[in-house]
Amino acid sequence: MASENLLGMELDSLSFAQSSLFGLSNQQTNVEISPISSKEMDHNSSVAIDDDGSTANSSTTDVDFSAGTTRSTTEEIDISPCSKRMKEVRLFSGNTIKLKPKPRKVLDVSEASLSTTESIMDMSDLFSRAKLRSSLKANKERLNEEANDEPKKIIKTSDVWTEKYRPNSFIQLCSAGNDRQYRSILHWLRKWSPIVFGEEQAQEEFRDSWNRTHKKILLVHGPSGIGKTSAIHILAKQMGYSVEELNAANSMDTLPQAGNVEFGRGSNVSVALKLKIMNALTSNSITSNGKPSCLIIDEIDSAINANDIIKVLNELVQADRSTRASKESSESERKHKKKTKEFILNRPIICIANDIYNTSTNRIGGSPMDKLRPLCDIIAFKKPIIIPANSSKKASGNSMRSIKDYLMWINERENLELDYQDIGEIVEVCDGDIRASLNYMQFNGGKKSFSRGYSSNKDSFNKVLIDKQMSWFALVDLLFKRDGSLSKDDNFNILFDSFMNGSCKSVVGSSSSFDKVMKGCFQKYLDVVHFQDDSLKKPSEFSDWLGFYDTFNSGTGGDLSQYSGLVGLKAWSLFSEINSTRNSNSESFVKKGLDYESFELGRQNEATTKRIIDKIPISSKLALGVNPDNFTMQFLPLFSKMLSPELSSRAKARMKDFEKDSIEKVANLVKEFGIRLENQRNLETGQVLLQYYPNWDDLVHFDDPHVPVPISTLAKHYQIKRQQLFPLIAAELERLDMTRKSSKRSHVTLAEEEKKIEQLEEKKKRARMSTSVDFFKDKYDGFHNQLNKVPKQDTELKMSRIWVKYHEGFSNAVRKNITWEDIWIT
Amino acid sequence: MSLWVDKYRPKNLGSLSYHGTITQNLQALARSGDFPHLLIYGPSGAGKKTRIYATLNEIFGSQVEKLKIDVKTFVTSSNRKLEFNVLSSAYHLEITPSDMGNNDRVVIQDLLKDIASIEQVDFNNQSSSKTKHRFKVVIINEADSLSRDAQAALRRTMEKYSSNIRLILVCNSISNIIPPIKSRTLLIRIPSPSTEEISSILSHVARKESVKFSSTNEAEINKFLGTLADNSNRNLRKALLSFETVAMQNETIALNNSSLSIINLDWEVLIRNLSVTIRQNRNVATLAKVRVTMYELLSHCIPARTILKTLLFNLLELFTQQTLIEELVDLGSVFDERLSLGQKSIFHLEGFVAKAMVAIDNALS
Repeated sequence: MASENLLGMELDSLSFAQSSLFGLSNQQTNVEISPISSKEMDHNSSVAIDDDGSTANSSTTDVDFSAGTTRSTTEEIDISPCSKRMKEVRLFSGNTIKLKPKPRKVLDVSEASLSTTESIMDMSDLFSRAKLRSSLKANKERLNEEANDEPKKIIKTSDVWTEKYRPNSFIQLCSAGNDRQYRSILHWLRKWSPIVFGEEQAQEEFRDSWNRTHKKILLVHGPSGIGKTSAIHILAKQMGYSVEELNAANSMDTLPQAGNVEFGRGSNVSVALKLKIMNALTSNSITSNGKPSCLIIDEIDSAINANDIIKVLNELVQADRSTRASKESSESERKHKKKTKEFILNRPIICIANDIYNTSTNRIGGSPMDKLRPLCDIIAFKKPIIIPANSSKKASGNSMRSIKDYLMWINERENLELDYQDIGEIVEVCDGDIRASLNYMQFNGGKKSFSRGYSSNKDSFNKVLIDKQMSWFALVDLLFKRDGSLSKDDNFNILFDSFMNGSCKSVVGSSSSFDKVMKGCFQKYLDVVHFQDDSLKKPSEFSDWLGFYDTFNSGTGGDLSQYSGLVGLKAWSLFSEINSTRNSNSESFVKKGLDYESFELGRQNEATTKRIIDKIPISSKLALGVNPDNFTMQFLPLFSKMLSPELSSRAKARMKDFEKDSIEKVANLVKEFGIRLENQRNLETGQVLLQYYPNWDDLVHFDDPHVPVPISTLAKHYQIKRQQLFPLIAAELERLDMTRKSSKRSHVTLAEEEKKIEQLEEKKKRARMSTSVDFFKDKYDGFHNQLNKVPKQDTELKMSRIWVKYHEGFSNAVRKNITWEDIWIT
Repeated sequence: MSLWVDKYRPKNLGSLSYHGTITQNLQALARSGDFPHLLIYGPSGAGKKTRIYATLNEIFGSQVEKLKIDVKTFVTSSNRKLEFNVLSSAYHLEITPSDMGNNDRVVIQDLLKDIASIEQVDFNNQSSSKTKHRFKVVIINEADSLSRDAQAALRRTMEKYSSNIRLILVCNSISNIIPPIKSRTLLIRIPSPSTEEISSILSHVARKESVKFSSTNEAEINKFLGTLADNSNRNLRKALLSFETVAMQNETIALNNSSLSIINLDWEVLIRNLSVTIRQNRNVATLAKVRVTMYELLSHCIPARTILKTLLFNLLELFTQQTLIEELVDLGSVFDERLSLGQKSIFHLEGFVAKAMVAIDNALS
């Protein structure tokens, strides 16, 4: 550690020395790289500096390098940041280095102000300051580079841009419309500060006794390539953590310890996994500079052993909870729990997934993500909504622009000479996936080699005949466009050729991208028709073709899907027009991204329904059925109404009998259906919402354009109602618990007495038994008695049967097939 | 305290209240102690499950109602583990194939083979129990959603293990069941109860729960319960649920003001409004609005075919011309087929609306 510190100091002094070389300081210094000393300290790419003019310093510290080890301790070179004096270090080789305190003060102030997210700050001001600082730093670095033969700080790992331009600080992060999510993550991590860093923080609600967040795991999900992993790494670093990453690739499934016998009982894999996760959580590795670790589990949904991981996480949370419970409860109980290993989760865990409602995968009995979700706070990253490049610029949202700006910046750095529109197209082609866009940019090269999928000028139709890569988006545009100089038939023939052999083939050939084309057409055609003749003839004709398309594609006779391209041609013949740009400026009928949104919401609701069905008591399962459609259509809307009765006053004493009854009933239902009452803090607005869990609000409430009350006010109305209702239900539940417990207690005492009597009798029996023969005889008699006695006691048990399990099949012993009839002659 | 649907569910055949002849047949079946494989079908909320459990209760005794949930695991051919829940008692078990997804064939085969290789041994009174139901009953819910493969697998199993397994298939319609299975089962159709039957059940419940009405006039109460029954499409489960909801929300149910005391489900209201919009404005802009509403409905897990059906019936109510009605029904059936064959419901729903608009335009002009 000492040597590390020393080296760090040295680098700073080095940079200082070099900057002074370039005239930033008026002191006369002479810098020289000595090869001998650099060889001596080969831990790093460090360089020793020979300084001649070192007489002006008052205090000098000698550092001796004897046989490659440092004798110096931290104190020796510990310089308080405010002292402006230089220190001189003499190396073993006789060289001396000047040490200058790191100019840390400025940095500290701005970092502190950056991390306090709660206080109100001028963000743009902060950003500009941070940018200024980083540009200064970059300048300095460049100076260093020029002065130095070997580059120090920039590690050239690879030339792949996705790695090269992976952001490594907060301000480099491309917002992509996810700023709010970034803030939520920071906020969540911030809540760990009290326990991790021992910071003082005002006591807030939803904290446990150690001042932690209510839920211990953060689950971040969103489509691929929008920077989830990058963002989280950066944010964790920003908050002062060192990142421990587990992902689907790194040793999750091939754990070396997995086969080890040492781990004994239980599944070895999960034990080993637990060890690994525990290690990650507790250890401070050497590389982490003493920073606390933050565990990031990447791609948790696609990991092969996702089940195991989630099991381990669940265990951790449970262990943590039980430890906390035992700590909080009395001493005697703690003794009792001493056996189980005490464990406090004191490092944040962040899980990253693409798809958290993953039901389609292998496991039928509840996918692993179903078990994970309740443990986590969930933050969703969103894909920017794609807007055609040739439509009005202002319509494209901030998210899109930030991505484009970001790519533009890289474009400038790499001298690709792409313009803003090209970049827009690239993003469209890649469907908002930043990583894919970067790859596309790198490998499709600069302006000269970058082939646009289409161009807006007239001769676009001649271009499409070459079989080359084309984006689905470009094809959608093409389908709505007609060349005015050609007749319709000629035009169609060109398009047809391009479908069969030309550039469109790349899109039409793959069913997934053509599916996107059809969705795009579906999205667009209403707008187009509205401006053409506003009649319903074309939509109704097109609906037939869409019907064919859907049947072709989803039918069992797979071969038909090759004809689906025809539907695209039909779309062209119906909707194409010569000046297709005129309507792009007007407001579109259909909100973009509606399809995706409704799909996501639908999956979420499906998952909720499934959870509710799993929870209903068995007896009600018979009455309610298990068909999820029945639940969403009939049961849940009514049930939700049942659980929100009208109340006249807050206090129970002042209520009418009827209302008391209904509260009692609601409490009973809540209990029976295993519903929890929850306080959920909305991560975005910071509002506290009262919810039932599982939360079916989204499922039951519709956003109806015809109803005067919009959905938001309806939700507010429910909140007000619940604020009144929930305390009452909670009180009622407590009362129910108490009555049950007391009845149980009386039950228990009775049972205990019976047990005592039995034990006494048994002792007597044992005393009587003398020989083993007697013992067996007695046992046999007892068994016999029981057999005879039981039917007399209970008529129901008389009917009880014995079921025998057997396997039919070929037996080697007798060399023939053995069936049940052979074993048991009835 | 449980929901009324649960509380007032008849537990044995004697206490069933409607469809007397079916009940008699079931009683005869139960008395014989043995029964063939059954295929019970009918609309939802008609009482299929209730009748099955009542019959089982008659045969095996009240132990049938002592249910527990087992988790069974299966290994598919591609070596993946499947887990799913089985509701079971000592005498029967109940499975829902939609839990199993595409692997229903494997699950059904394995499960039935597993059960078939368990024979019951009775030590006392061998002679009498020899003929008496030495079988386990397997109830398969939503049998119409079984894949063709699974149904084919079922048909052999039904014969092979008929000595110790009885299957009861439950479904809404038998159009998806392959003929070989129909021929191997005894088909029992449970029709929806009539409005009068539902309202008499509701009034029975009202008496037991001492629900207060704003007037004591029998005829008025009956009228109210009748509208409630009508409103729930003769679905007894829905009627009971909505009656309970009404009773929980109002201390005394106002009979004269049915708008307050009858609950319309939000999604039904939404579709009704949709049909009114279609009648009023038929143009592309409306079509775009319809699309937004359709997305809203689909995202709330309302099945596309239900949307289509409800919309069609709402439209039929709005128009009187015979030819138009015929055309609309025709369109409805065409798009229903497309919905069940395809996957992109939104295409077809919008297509139906577009075509219906054109048809209405033609009929009105």
